[in-house]
Amino acid sequence: MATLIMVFFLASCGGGGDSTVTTVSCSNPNCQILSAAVSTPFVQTVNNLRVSVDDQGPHSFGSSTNILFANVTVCSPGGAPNQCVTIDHVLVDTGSVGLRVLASKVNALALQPVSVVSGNAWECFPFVIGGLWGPVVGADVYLGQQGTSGTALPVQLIDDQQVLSPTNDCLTVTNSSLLTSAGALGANGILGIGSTTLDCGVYCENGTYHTTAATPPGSSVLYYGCPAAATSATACSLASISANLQVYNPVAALPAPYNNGVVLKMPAIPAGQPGAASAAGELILGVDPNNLPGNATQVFLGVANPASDSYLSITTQYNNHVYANSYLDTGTNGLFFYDATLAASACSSQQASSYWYCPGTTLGNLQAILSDGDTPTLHQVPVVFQIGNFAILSATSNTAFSDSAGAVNAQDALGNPIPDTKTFAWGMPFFYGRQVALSIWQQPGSLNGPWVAWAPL
Amino acid sequence: MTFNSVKNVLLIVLLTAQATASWASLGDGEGAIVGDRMRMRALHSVTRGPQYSVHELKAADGSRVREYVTPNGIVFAVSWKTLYKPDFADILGSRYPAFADSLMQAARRGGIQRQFRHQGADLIVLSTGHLNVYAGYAYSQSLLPSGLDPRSLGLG
Repeated sequence: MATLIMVFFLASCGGGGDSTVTTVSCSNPNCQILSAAVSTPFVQTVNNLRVSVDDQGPHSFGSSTNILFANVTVCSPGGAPNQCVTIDHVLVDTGSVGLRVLASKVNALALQPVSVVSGNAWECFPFVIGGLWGPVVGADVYLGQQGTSGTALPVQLIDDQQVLSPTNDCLTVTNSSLLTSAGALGANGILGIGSTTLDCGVYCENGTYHTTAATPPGSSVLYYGCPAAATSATACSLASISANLQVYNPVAALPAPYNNGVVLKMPAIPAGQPGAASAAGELILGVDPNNLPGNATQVFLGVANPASDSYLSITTQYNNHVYANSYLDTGTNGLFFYDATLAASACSSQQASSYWYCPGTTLGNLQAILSDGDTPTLHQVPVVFQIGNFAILSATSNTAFSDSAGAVNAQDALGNPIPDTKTFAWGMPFFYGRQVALSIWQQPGSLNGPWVAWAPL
Repeated sequence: MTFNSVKNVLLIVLLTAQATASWASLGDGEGAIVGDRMRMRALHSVTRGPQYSVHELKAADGSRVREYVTPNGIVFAVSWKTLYKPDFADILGSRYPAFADSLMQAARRGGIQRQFRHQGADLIVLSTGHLNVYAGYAYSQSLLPSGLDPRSLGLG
C-alpha cells in the first residue's frame, strides 16, 4: 500500500486573494488551521441576498462543512412590517422544494394553518435519511427585498415543540429518523429552491398516497388533515390537497421576472489553501436565458421518462464512466460519486459503507463532461475539478472546501464488488469560483424543462 | 349449501385475499408480487431466464419497481426508480429493522444526505433521492443465485 504523504501546499494563490493562514489554539495534536475567509463583492439590489458557508449555524455534530446558509424573513400574510421574523442560518437547498422552518422561530407570528377538508394541514416530508413533520401555514416570505405577496405562501413549519406526535405512516416513510431540531438539521430551516414548483404535485392533489394500507402508493410526501383540537396524530387522516395549498417553491412565488430560477455566485477558494474559514457569496433571484453569465451553455435536465436514470438529472462523464443521474446540489456538502480508481484513496476502512476521499496529494486537473440528461450528446460542457485529502481538510477549522469528495462504497463488508451508483452529485464544491444559474420547470424560460448553466466568476 | 351461498363464500374469500394482499418482500415467494401490482396499480411484465426472472411493475406516473426472483420463485433483489420514497419495511420484510438501525445511525451526521448505503452481513441496500425522485436497490447476498454477480443485474 502506498504511504500516504501529507503535503501542504502553501504557495501563494493566483487571482489576487489573500492566503493568510492563521493558527488557532490546538485542543489536539493536530493544529486547527483557520485559513482566510473568502467573499464575493456584494451590493444590495432589488433581487439579491447574501449567502454564506460558515460555522455559525446550530449543529450537534462537530463543525459543519459546506452548508450554505441564508437569512429568510417570514411575515404574517399581509401583516404590518413589524409582524415579521428574520430567521438566520436557513440551509439553501437546490435539491428540494419548499421553505421549512422551525416552528419555534415563528411562534410570535401565530401563522395560520392551511385548511383541508378534515382539518389543519400537516405535512410529512421525507429525505433519503430522515424527514420533517409539521403543520403547513400561510406566510409572506422575503428573500432579500423580494417577497411573495398576494396569496399567502404555503410553508412547512417543523414541529420542534412536539405539538403533535407524528403519524405512524410518517414514522414509516422517514424510517423513524425525523429531524426535529435545529441541531439535528444543522440549520434553522431549509430553503428549498430546486427545479420544480411544488413539493408534491398531482399525487397529493388526488390523495393517492403511499400508505401501509391497501391503497396504491403514489407519493411519499404526505399531507394530513388534523382537527384543530387534536392532541394525538391518530386524529389525523391523509388528505388530498390542491396544488395552490401545497408547499411551494418560494422563488417561484416571487414577482416576475424573479420567479423563474436563481443564480448563485460563490467566491473561489485559493489553490493551495486547505479550504476557507468561510465563504460569502450572492444569490440572485431570477434567470434570463438570453443573458446567461459568461454566455454559458444551457444544460437540460431529463424530463422525458420518470423511470429513466436521468429524470430531473443531467449526465456526467468521468474516467470513461457515464453517470446518468447527475445533478448540481447546494444541499450536498461534497462531490459524491463512486470511482473505482479513487476508491483506493478512501479515508476510512474499505469496508465503511460510505467514505470521503483521501488521496496522498491533492488530485488536480480532473476532467469531466456534463451534458443533457435525456440526450447526453447534447450541450456537452467540460468541467475541471480537484479532490483534496479530506483528513487534512477536516483537521482544519475551515468550513468551505472546493475539493472535498467522497462516495458510497461499492464493496460489501468482505470487499466483494457490488453495484455502484449511477449518481454524480456535484455538491457545494462545484459552486466555488462560479456563477451557476438553475431554472425552475414550468416558469418562464423553462416551459419545456429545467436547465442549468454556469461560468467562471 | 345452495349455489348462491357457495358463490358468496367464494366472493368473501376473494375479497379477503385482495384486502390482505401483501407486498413481496425480500425472501418472499413471487406469488406475493400480485399484491405488489395491485398495490402500485401497475402494469406487470415478467422476463424469465435460467438463472433468475425479473418482474417489472410500472405505475402510471412512470415509477418502476423490479423484483428479481430465483428459479425457486424467491425474491432475492428489488430495484426501484420511483417518484416516491419506497416503503422499506415492505421491500425488506424481516430484514428491515437492521436497515432502519443503520439509517438512524447515519442520521446523526445531521444535514441533508441524498445517498445512503447499507452494508449488512447479508443485506445490501443503496438508497438515493433528489427532488423527490428516488432510485436504488436492495438484495440479500445469501439469496443470490449461486455464481450470480449482482453487478450483472443492471442495478445501480
